[in-house]
This record gives sequence, C-alpha cells and structure tokens, in this order.
Amino acid sequence: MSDTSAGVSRYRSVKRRDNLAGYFFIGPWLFCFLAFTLIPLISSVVLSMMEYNMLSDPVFIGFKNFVDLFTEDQLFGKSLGVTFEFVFLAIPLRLMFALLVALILNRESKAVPLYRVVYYLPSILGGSVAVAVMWRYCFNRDGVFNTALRALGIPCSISWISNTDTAIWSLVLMFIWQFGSPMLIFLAGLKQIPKSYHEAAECDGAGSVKRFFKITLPMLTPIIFFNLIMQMIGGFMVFSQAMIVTEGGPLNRTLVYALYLYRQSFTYYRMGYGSAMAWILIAIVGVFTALVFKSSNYWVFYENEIR
Amino acid sequence: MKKILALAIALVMALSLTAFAEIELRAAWWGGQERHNNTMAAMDAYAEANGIKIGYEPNSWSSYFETLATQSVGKNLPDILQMSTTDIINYATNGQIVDLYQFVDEGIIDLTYVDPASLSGGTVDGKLAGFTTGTNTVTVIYNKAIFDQAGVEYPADDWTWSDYIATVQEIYEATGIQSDIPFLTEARWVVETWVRAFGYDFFSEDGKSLPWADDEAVKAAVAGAIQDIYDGVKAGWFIDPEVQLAWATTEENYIVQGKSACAFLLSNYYGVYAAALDADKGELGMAMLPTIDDGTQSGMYLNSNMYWCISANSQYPEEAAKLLNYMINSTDAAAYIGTDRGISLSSAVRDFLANSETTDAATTNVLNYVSAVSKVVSTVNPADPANSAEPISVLKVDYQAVMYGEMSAEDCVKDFVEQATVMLAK
Repeated sequence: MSDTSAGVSRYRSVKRRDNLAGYFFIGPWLFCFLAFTLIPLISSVVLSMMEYNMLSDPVFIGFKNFVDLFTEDQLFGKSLGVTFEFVFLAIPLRLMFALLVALILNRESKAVPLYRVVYYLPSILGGSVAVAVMWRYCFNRDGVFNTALRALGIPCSISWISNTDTAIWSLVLMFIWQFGSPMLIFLAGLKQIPKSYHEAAECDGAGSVKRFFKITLPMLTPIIFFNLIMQMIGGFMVFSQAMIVTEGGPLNRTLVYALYLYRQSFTYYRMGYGSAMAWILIAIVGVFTALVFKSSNYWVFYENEIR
Repeated sequence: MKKILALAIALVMALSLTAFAEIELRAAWWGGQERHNNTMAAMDAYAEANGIKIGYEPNSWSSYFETLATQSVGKNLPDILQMSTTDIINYATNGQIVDLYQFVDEGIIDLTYVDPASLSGGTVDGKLAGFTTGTNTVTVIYNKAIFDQAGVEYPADDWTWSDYIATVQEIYEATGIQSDIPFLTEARWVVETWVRAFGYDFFSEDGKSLPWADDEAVKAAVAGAIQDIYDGVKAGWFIDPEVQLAWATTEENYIVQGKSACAFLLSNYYGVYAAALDADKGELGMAMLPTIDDGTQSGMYLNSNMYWCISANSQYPEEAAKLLNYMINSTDAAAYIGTDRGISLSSAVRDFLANSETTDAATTNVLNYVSAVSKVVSTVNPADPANSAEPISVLKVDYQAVMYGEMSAEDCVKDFVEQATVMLAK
C-alpha cells in the first residue's frame, strides 16, 4: 500500500518535472503566441465594436462599424473586388509556375540544390521594401521590363504600374515571382511518387504527357490542395506590394483590402473600424477555405483510400 | 519569488536613475537622409553646449505616424516631435501634445522676432499645439530656357488661369514640349487656390463642412478649370497622366530633366528641383499660381510646412521647450537646417539666411518668393480639420480619374463635395 503511494507520488513528481521542462521549452513560442497573436486577436474582437483613434480611450458603439462598412463605405466593396481579382489571377498562376519549376528541378543533377536556393531567394527577399522599390523601377515606362520588351522587338511605352489595366498585373507578376515555398513543397511531393509507377506506365507505352496527367497530377493532389489553401490565405492578405509598388493607385485599381484596412486604421485613425474590416476578411478567408475543403472530396486523391 | 523579483527590478531602476541623472530628451521626425543629417548636427551642437543628451528617432514619412501612434498608446511619445498639418488636430484634441503658450508665457520660447499672427497655423482650439517650423506655399516653377525657346514671356505673379492654359498651349505648339498636370498627386493644393479666389476657405472654421459646397458658381468654376486641364491632356499640351503618376523620385520628374515647361510645386521643394536640373537644360523661375478667371482675389495661401510639438508625457517639458526654441529661433540651428522645414517664422533667421554667404541662389529665391506671397496673404492657414484626410484622398483620386478620362469634371466636383460633406460631419 505504502509502496504504491510512494510510486504514485514519485511518478507525479517526475511528471510534474517533465511538464515543467516541456513548458520551459515551448515558453518562447508560448510567450510570442500570447503577446503577438492571442491577445491582439481578442483585443481586435473588442475593438471592432468600438470607436478607437489610438490617441484617446475607446468608446463602445456596438455594431456601427460593421453597419457603416456595408452601408456607407464606397471603397469597402471596391477594395474587396480588387482583392478577389488579385487572388483569382495570382494564386492559380503562382501554383502553376511553382509546379512547372518543380517538375524541371525534379531530376538527378548536382546543380539542383543550387537552383533550389536560387529560385527560393525571391520568396525571402520579395516581401522586403527594397525589392518592392526595385520592382517599381522595373515597371516604369523606361524600366527594365519595357527595355527588355523593346530588345525583343516589341515596342512598349506603357507605364505598367500607373496604367489602369496593367497595374494589377504588375502586382500579380511580383506575387508569382515569389513562388519559392510552394515550389519546394511540390518538389518534396514529386519525390514521394514511387518511380515504379512511372516505370510500369512507360512499359505499357504511356508518353510523358500522359504519365503527367495520369500519374503525377493525381498523386500530387494532396500537395496541390495544401498549397492552394496556404497560398489563398496569403493572397487575401496581400499588402506590402500594393502599399509600396502602386500605393493603391492608379484610381484605386490596386487598393487591396489589407491596404485599405491599413489606411483606415493608421492614416485615418480608425482602429476600431480597421478591426471590424479585419474580421470580415477572416470570415471571407474562412468561407473560401471551407469551400476548398468541401470540394477536396471530389478531386483530392489519397493513396490509402484505395481499398 | 515575486517579492525578490520586484525588489530586484526596483533596485535596477534606482541604479539606472542615478547612473543617468543627466537629462535625456528624445526627438522624432520624418524625412530623408539629408534632413536626418542636418537635424542631428543641429541638435548635437545644442546638446553639447547645454550638457544634455538627445536620443534621435528619425523615421520615414510612411512609417512615422504608425510609430508615433503606437508610442502614444504606451504613453511613450518622444519629448519633442515633428508633426504634420493633417495629423496635428488628432494629437492636439486628444491631449497627446501640450499647449506651447505656457512656455511662451514663461519666456522659454522667444517670440521677439516672430509675428504672432503667423502662429495661427499651429493653433487648435485657441491653444498653440505646434510651433510652425516654417511656412510653405504653392508655386509654379518654370524652365526659363524653354520659355525663351518658345518665345513666350515669363509668367507674372498676377497671371490668370486662362493666361496659364494659353501659355502651356503656346509652348507646346512652338516647341513640342509639354507641361506637368497641376498637382496630379494632390489635387487639393490647386483646388484650394481656385476656391480661395472666390473668398472661401477650403474647410469651414469648425472643420465640419466645405463652406463653398452650396455655391454653384464656385463649383462650376472648379469643374471648368479641371476640364481645361483635361482638354490640354487630350490635346497633348500636358504630360500623359500615366507617365506623370509613375514618378517616384525627384530625378524622374520631367521638369528636372528639362522635358517639361512648367510644373506646380510646394515651395519648399524648389531648392531640390533647382539643384537637380542641369544648368545646360535651363534655370527654374518661380511664379504664383494663376488666379482663376472670375476670382475676386488671389487664391494664394500660406501653410505651416510642419510643426515642432512637445508631448504630454514628456518628463522634461521645459528642457524640450528650450530645445524647440533653439530649433526655431537660433541662427546656429538655421545654419545647419537652412530652409529644409520651410521658411522660418523668425525674421532674424530669415535675415540671417538671406545674408549668409553660404546661402545659395535657390534658397534666396525661395525666401524672396515666400515673402512676396506673404504680402498678398497675411495669415497662415490653420491645421487641417479632423476627418479631412479621407475626403482629400477622394478628391485626389477623382481628379486623377478625370485626367485618365474615366470621369467628367462635373462629376468629380459633385462626388467630392458629396462625400466630403458626409465624411467631415462625422
């Protein structure tokens, strides 16, 4: 009897020590999660129902921010439209491009690791202000992009970032250019596909195109699914490119939702309004993610489902 | 455990207090590298002479107010801070910056050489929320060489709007050289001159409305002037708005490349533009903005360029006020700063700069120009009202839409007046 209780208490103390060590190790993450994610998250819920200019105390106004957004704000709908346009253009293109490069890099060669690094670089640098500024220069009327077109014999004098039709494309192009992380994930997925499948198909006389559509693509659908979700969420939150390259212009053609949210919050001193906008964006992203999840039953293939 | 921790922290705090008994002020401003350098040099000289420390928090325009707002939430604003005409109202009405009249009364801020009427730019609700670093106005800069080449007379300060349009057309037809679209990136600056020519302020005194919103004649005149510009864009006298809107740096501006005959500009940029234009491509003259044809008076106005303010959470407000006084009154500071923050309110500083051997021709031109304008308009515009940033942005985008051919000039004025009326009244 006494033996068991001693055993239990020793077990408990060991367990407590283990727990402590565990908390110690996740401490840094836990702290950052609380300070930079959970608390801001909760305060933004509260703030979305307040009028708050940051310089004086917030005032509770119920759902007025949400009502104003839907009834009075002309740029709310406009910025949502721009964001949808951006997401529907940029995400499929980025995924296709990432897959294309991954397919090219998926072979035995000593240079592949080097290429992987090189192609991943834009993703690391791309979010920075300096690169956005550089991008701005590239798409000027006398920028690198037009110079290259002229060198190819295509005379072009469009100022891409200030033309109402092309401005959104300069952002899309910059977004596609940062294809590194989906590319690496595709590459990992491609390596997982057993070579024997391809070999068997080849024996049966299947060409490379047929093998891509009948083997590679179906086997890759879980990866495509994952990339689609992650990229879509990132796409809805696009901000820095629009902020620096086009400043939302010309004529609000590139006023993406996150940029308008930022302006309301920091330029017009309406933190509460901005918080309300943020929650609407979360709802929209949530709906789209759910839709993609639902649709996955019809197009995502898991090998372990075969019975 | 908690007690020990609290004690330890208290000890460290006490120790750090004794270690840094020396006064340390924090100063914040936005600007480019040039301004960072000259401001720090001026403040370094002051810190050394007065045995205090100054911590610098220079920033870029795009992230300055974001930083400031965050600091204000933590009651951690810098002691002395640069403030813009659009933001000062928010900081003043929410008690984040102090009334500077108390330091004037105490004799810390010296107004011997300052015309009290010129302080109006920094007053909010009868309090001196900010001390104007310098006045600023609008100007038309023109390339004398291009005017000569076209055989067109230089503009006089009393020219009219139709003179201006005719000049732009004449130069284009004679030389093929275009002119900048007036204030394409901030239409308010030119629209304000049109409205003021009819005797109206741009915003009402309480900041809740546009005083000219119901005057059909004024609105028609504004729409007419915008239409004139668009006609010029279509005819090719003005630069393609697509090209002009893409300019981000001084060097990209056609006026600086000798490829534009004239451009509308804030006067404090004149020096930079004049320096950037190669001498063999011409020389930049300055003229006042043309008066709209049916206008009853000059539409010119003086603005505060920016302000120096003292934060409410400053531990050493009097030390900060002394530093502020140095920045605005001292010729030593002016020697470093020149006219970078506008033309000083202090006549002593203006005289010093005008007569200083190191003052270049461009600075002299600006000094002369601003003093000419101040003979036409006496008071400095008050700070922009609360909620004005959003309608100003509406006007900017609508004006650009007209130039892009996507909106009529009448609709532009109508839409702006409608939206501004709702936004300002909030």
